[in-house]
Amino acid sequence: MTALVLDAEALSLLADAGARSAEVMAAVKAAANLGRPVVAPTVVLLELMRGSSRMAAVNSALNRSQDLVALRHTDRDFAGLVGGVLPAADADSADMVDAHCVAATVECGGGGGVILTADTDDMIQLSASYRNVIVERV
Amino acid sequence: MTSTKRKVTISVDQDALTRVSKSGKDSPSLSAYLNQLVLDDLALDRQREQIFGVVADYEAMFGEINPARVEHFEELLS
Repeated sequence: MTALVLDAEALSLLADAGARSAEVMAAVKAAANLGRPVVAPTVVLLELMRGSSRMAAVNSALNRSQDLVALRHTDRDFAGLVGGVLPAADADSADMVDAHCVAATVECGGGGGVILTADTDDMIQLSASYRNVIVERV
Repeated sequence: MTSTKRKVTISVDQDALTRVSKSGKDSPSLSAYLNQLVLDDLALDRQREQIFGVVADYEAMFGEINPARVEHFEELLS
């Protein structure tokens, strides 16, 4: 089963549900229509912490709808998967958060899925080894 | 709080079941595996309900989401 994975920007836009959120809304609607999981690695919340208003919007949305996005926490197994993404793309720990998105897609999507991101270049590089991972700009 | 019973049908991937079997897991582990499948299925149902709620609110405010874009993502996720 493929999964829809959101990076920090996509998660923020989903939570905001504003005029700029059309693409994210189309993607989550498609996922819900097909019964596909919508996932975000918990670590993407760290990127949102830098903008307190964005984090507040995400917190508010997740408080209202706790199951809106399935958060994938980083445990030992998942860390191992993330650890494999970085060297496969010849990347370093600077891309750690994006690597979590790729790993979540591979794991939660049974090998494939769609990543919604504001930074397609880095994500395409990180996911190059996984042919069933598709990167879409939000 | 009231509890409700609900009949859930799950499909078990044969390959996954074979992997669990070959890994030498005992029956409690297999049971836990199946229980987890049921829980995952219920969580996915809850998530779909909430997404449809958020989408309905969004469409009430901004109009219908472009069906072509929804179709595009459905193709990617199929």
